[in-house]
Amino acid sequence: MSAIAEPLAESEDEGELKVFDVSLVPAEPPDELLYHHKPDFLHSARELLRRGEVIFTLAERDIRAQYKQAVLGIGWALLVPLVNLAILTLIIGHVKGFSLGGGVPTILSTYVALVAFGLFGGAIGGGANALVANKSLMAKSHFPRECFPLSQVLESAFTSLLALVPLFVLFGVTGYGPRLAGLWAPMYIAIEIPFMVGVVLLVSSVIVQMRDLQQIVPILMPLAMLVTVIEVLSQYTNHALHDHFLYGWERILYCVVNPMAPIVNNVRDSVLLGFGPQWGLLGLALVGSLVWLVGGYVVFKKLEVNFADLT
Amino acid sequence: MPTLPKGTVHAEHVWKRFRADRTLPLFQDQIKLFGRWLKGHHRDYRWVLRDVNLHVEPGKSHGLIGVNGSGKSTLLKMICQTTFPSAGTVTAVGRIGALLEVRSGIHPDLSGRQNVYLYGNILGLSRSEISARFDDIVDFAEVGDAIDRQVKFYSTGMAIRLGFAIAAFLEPDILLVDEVLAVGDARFQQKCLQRISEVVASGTTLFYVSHDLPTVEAVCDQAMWLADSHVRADGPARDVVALYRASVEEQAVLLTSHDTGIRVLKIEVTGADGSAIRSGEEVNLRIVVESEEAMFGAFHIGVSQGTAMPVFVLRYASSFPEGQFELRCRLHNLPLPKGRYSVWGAMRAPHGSEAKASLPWQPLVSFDAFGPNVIKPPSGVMVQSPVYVPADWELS
Repeated sequence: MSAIAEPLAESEDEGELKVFDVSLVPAEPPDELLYHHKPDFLHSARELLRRGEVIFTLAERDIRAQYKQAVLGIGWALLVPLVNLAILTLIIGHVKGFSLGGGVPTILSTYVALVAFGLFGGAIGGGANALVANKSLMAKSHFPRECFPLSQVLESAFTSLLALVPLFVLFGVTGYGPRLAGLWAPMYIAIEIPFMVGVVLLVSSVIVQMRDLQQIVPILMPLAMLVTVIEVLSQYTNHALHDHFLYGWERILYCVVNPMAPIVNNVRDSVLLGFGPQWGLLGLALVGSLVWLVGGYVVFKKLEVNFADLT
Repeated sequence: MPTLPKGTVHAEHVWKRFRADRTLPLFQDQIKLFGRWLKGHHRDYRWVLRDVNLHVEPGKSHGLIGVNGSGKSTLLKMICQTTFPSAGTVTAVGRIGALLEVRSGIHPDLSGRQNVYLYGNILGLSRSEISARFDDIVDFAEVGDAIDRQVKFYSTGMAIRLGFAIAAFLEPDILLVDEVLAVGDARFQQKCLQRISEVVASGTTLFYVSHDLPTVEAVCDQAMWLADSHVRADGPARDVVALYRASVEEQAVLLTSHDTGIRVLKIEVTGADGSAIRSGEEVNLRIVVESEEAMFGAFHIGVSQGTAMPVFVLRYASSFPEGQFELRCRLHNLPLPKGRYSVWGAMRAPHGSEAKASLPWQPLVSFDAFGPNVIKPPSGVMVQSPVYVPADWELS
């Protein structure tokens, strides 16, 4: 074999071969190495801001995918609230307390409440499963997990914006125009946003561990809507429900726990009746909203450590 | 931790455990668990990775090998930062592109084009940066007009091509590839290996998980062998793969040791006149076999690098007697480079024969061959079997 030349020496230094004695590795890691999940909220929030674009990307993806194979396409975003409206109007026609008075057509007051609540309802309905449904994307790439539920909030905002188109049609049909005080509405919606985000973070992260909620949420949401839409807070109208009005501590607690109630109430009263903001109630709603936001975010970050393993 | 350059992967004393209890994420199970916790019982855990240490410089390629369930994919997931280690730290600096499952991260309801932009955006690239690479991706994936079709109508091959193209062309600092290329056809695999080499050459760090050992040798500088949640060896890819092959052979012995009527009592492999075995020289095999019945059949001998896939096979068909007999075989010219090899054997009667006894394909003995090293192919080219072919070269 001496006639055969040896191949050229290896050009790269590939390091040394290390063989490990498996028996030297202890059965469990020393305690000081164990990972204790302590979420760094400040860092997480900064990271979320930096990668915020992903929220838009995911929302865009979902909106496109959702309407892609539907014959009506984006038309569904207009049709669904109208169908809901028809159903609700049928129910509400039999319940006295829903009439706003002041000559406002019931169909209008119902639709305004539907849109105001629909923003929240859509966000929770879609966002609850956001983590579970995006399992494969979650296994593949690393970016703030909050993006998944938040993209659903964004998607719901988009759908709600489209739902305003039928609203203006209804204004035209009923001949009842919006009041100037309706310009306050964006402020009320702004108070709704922290609440939505808090609840969607909470629900989506808990669902990963307790899938029971996947069944409970769709049952709970319509109930929450009915409860919210009933005017137990109004001071101006609805004398039929007068006995059920909440006063004192109950009233404060209700507004904090369910900020949607004062928000929906105010949106409706300002758009349709031209009333100004009820500052007291809105202040309570804002406090409640922020409590939900902080609570939801803390729970989300605490549970985050298990997402990849449990989805 | 000092700031590491982009593309560095560093793992220190990484441990990972999963729950071993049978809890389902259902309400009643959570209640039960809470009850157990009140009584002072803690959860049962199963460790899937123990004390993994790793440091990979930017632009290096690292292979992960090991049998199923040894923790390779879990380690990749931790590098990808999609799952947390239970103990220790994993640092991966820079953008991470991952190709973990065939359709992972590809949304079936979106078109190929939308998927490219979606994943690029998730990786942190801007729209214009993705647009600049878009044509390369479509070319590489060979999907043509189908790029505007929904991905759920793609064939498996198209989906995997698109997935690979997206991951490999969006210029990640770290590229993770887990066992997915096996899905593509041979031509596409070769193309992927070519692309992986280019990506690595341009400074991307590669992590490559595969059971296809020749590919690991072809693609990776370094390799880590994981077995039963432990790191067994770490170092130059070729050495680690060789160790792993030897262990596969050991396991194969355990697997095939049941008696089926024919036993190999003794086997010897020697070079010319009983000396050491050398490349290009004579090799003698002496095999003593005991059979429970006489049969007309064939005895097969295969020489492999440890696995059940031989580099070459020899066959001797004859009428074998009942009881003990001895087979001798002489190879005039051993066509193997330096290394450790194992001899596998099998004996059976042809189909339709009365004879019941047989010897299933199993490793019989291993030997070391001395001689020249196998010539290393250019990066990204696989050597399936290391045959040493003496050749005279001339340059004019």
